[in-house]
Amino acid sequence: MQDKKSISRKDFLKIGVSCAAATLASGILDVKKAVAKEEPVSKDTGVDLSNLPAEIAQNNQLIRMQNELARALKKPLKERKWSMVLDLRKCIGCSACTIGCKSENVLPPGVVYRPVVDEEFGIYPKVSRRFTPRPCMQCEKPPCTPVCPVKATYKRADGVVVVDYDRCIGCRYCITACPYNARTADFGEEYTQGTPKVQDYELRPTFEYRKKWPRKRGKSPIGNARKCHFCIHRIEIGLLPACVTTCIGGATYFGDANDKNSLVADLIARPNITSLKGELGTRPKVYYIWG
Amino acid sequence: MKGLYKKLWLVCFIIGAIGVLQRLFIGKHFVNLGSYVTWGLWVSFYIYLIGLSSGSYIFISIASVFKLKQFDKLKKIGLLTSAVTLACAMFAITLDLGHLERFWYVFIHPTPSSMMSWMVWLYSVYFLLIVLQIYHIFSNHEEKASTLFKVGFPLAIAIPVCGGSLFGVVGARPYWHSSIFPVLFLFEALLSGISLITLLGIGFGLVKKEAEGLFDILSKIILGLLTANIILEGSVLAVPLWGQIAYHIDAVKLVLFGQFWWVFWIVHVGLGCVLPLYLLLKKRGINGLAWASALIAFTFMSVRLNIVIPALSIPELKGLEDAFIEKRLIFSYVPSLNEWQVTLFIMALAVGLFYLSIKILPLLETRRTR
Repeated sequence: MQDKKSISRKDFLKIGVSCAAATLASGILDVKKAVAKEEPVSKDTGVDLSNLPAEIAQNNQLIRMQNELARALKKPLKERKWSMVLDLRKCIGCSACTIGCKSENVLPPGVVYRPVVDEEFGIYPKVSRRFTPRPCMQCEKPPCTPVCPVKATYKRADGVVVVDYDRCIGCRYCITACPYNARTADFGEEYTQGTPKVQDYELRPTFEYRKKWPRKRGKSPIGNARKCHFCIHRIEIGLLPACVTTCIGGATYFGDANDKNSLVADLIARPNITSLKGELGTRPKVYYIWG
Repeated sequence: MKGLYKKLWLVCFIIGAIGVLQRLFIGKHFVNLGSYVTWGLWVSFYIYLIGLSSGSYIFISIASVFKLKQFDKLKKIGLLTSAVTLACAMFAITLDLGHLERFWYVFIHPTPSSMMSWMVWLYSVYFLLIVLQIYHIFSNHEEKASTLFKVGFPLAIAIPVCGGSLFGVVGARPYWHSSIFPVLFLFEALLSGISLITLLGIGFGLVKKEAEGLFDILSKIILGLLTANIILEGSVLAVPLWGQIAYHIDAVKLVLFGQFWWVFWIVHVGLGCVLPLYLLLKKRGINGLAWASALIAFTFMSVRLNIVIPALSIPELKGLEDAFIEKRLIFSYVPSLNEWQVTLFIMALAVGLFYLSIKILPLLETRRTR
């Protein structure tokens, strides 16, 4: 009994120092673990981030998403579930995503994959605005695919709704069936039409669906229904969609919702997440944070 | 006078042909359709013609299946009307396709989930059936023709029903998404088709006031169908209005009070319903029936326009109309000159085909023998 009670000052200090060291060590380990989670993944993405300041490299959401993208690409197609989260509190309505998308996919007049809806609320002087980018919702239950008379539009195993340009007959039934007006038709026009020369940048091919589509009269995608496809031609080579990388407010998140550790999975699990027209039961894979 | 009509027809044909050539060789630059209002005059004209075709056919097949002898003399003209309007409808919808050279993909990539697939399959069988029937009926193979009528009767009913369903199944458009649409399309087809046959019957002297009570029966049939149509259309418009939910009534308000209110109130209600009702109820003789039939048959295009366009003119998301402003990203639509030209061409084609058929086929044999 006496042995148990008699702890000398020296022993006490020894125990105390050991505990402090252990606590500190475990803390350091945690930090290391956390840093490891945020660490730039040059080995996965092949991008050299060594020149970036450590804070940016460790906390940049784009890098994290790109890291997660590379991780998802290692899984079979059907195990991925590409999703997008739009934080409307961060969106400043600059429409850089719209233009980035237009440029990436060489979209002609009348075709837009991701317009930004600008709404104004309140009465002066109490007014505010909300900007809602509207890409394709990539619905789990897309109403646009079953109406296609030639099966030209369908949902891929990873959930992305695509259009087979070579098969689409251009009936535009799918356009009428989309409850988000997210499909558009290519009428074969150019912005510089009617000027002395149609500019070359308008005639450059688009690489949608990982195929080269030269812009020639009578050839697809002219005459087709066109829509946002989450830039799968970029995703599949390890790049984030154009709208994500061009979003200057950092309001667009993208990733594999099936990956529990992904940023989008974190965001989708929050109570302030919502989707457009959820009551329709289309189960969009594009989510919004409104407040 | 005959020469004048021919010249007028030729002018229409040439003006229209220019539009068709523009469409075929330049593309769709000259149409006013867009990514939002993506169906317009041509799709409306197509469903109008399909209604005329199936309505005519249902009428003559009922007469054949139920052995209603008094309508026998209208059989040939009815069959020809069905064939001509169907061919022209096919032409109209083919020109509307973004890739008209791929229309045959519908047969090699069958999609039972799509109402459009069903429509194309039904049209194909229907077209073959009509061609076969024309051959038999004008070769006096009465028995074979009447057997084909038995097959064609349910098929012809399925066509407007399927047409109505094509719109009715689109859940994204509250104005279309109604279970009454297939029934409405059937009644509309019957009304417009029978009116056209009656008009042609009177025009070719097959329907006379004295002749076997045909005049009286046709008057009553048209009157009954017109009444039924008014009730059905009234339901389509009034029920959502009573509901008072903005999402459901936006398109209805556009029909009734929008920019093109006159298409509904003057062309359809005034000229297509009230005036024919007056003429039929007042029993204004054979001329009254001819006018009533003509008014119904020709103003029916307004019904088709008011089905197709208003539903697409309402943004699915509030504010989308201003989100990205471009010529083809707007929610309003007025047909372009090219679209009218093509429509004019198809009308001239229909008249031309009909005229040619009369010249070639012994269409008016019944009248001659009498």
